[in-house]
Amino acid sequence: MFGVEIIFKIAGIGIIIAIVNQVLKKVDREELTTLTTLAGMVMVLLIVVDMVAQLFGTLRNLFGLY
Amino acid sequence: MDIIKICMIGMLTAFCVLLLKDIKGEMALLVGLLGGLVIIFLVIDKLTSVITVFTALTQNTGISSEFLSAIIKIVGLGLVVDFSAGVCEDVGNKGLSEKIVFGGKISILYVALPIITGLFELIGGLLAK
Repeated sequence: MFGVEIIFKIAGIGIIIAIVNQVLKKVDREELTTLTTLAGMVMVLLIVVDMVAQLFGTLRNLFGLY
Repeated sequence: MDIIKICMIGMLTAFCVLLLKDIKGEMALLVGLLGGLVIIFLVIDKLTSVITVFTALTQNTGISSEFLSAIIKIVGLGLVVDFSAGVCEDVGNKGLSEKIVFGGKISILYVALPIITGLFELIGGLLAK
C-alpha cells in the first residue's frame, strides 16, 4: 500500500466528499454536509494516523528511542 | 532508481495538494502529510542498513556502546521532531512547530548528558596530571 495509490485514494475520498456536499446542497439538505465531511475526515484520519503510528513504531525500534 | 520514485511522488503529491486546496482544504493537508510518509517509507530500509553497519563497525573498535546508542538516539529524535514540526508548519501554526523543535532540543540535550559528563571527566583527568 506504500506508494502512489494511497495518495490517490485519499485525494479521491476528498473529491468524493466535495461532490456529495454539492449534491446535498442542490437537494436542499444543507445540514447533512457537515456529517459527510466529518465521515470523510474520519476515514482519511484513520488511514493517516495508522501510517504515522507505523512510521513512529519502526523509528522507535530502529533508534531505540523511548 | 529509488530517488527518481521519491522525486515523482513528491511532485505528484504537491499537485494533488494544489488540486484539493480549493475543493477541500483540510484534505489537501492530509494528502501532503501522506506524501511525506510514503517518501519516508521508501527510504526506511536503507536507514536500517546504515544503522546496522554503524553498530557493527563500532563493535570491534573501543568506543563504548553507550555513546554510540546515544548518538543514534539523537539522530532518531532529530528525524521524528523534524517530521512533526514540518507537518505543523504545513498546517500553518508556526508557533506549534517551534514548540516541537524546542522539545526535541531539550530531549536531545538530555540524551547527550552522559557524553558531556564523560567528556568533562576526561578533561579533568588530563588536567589533574
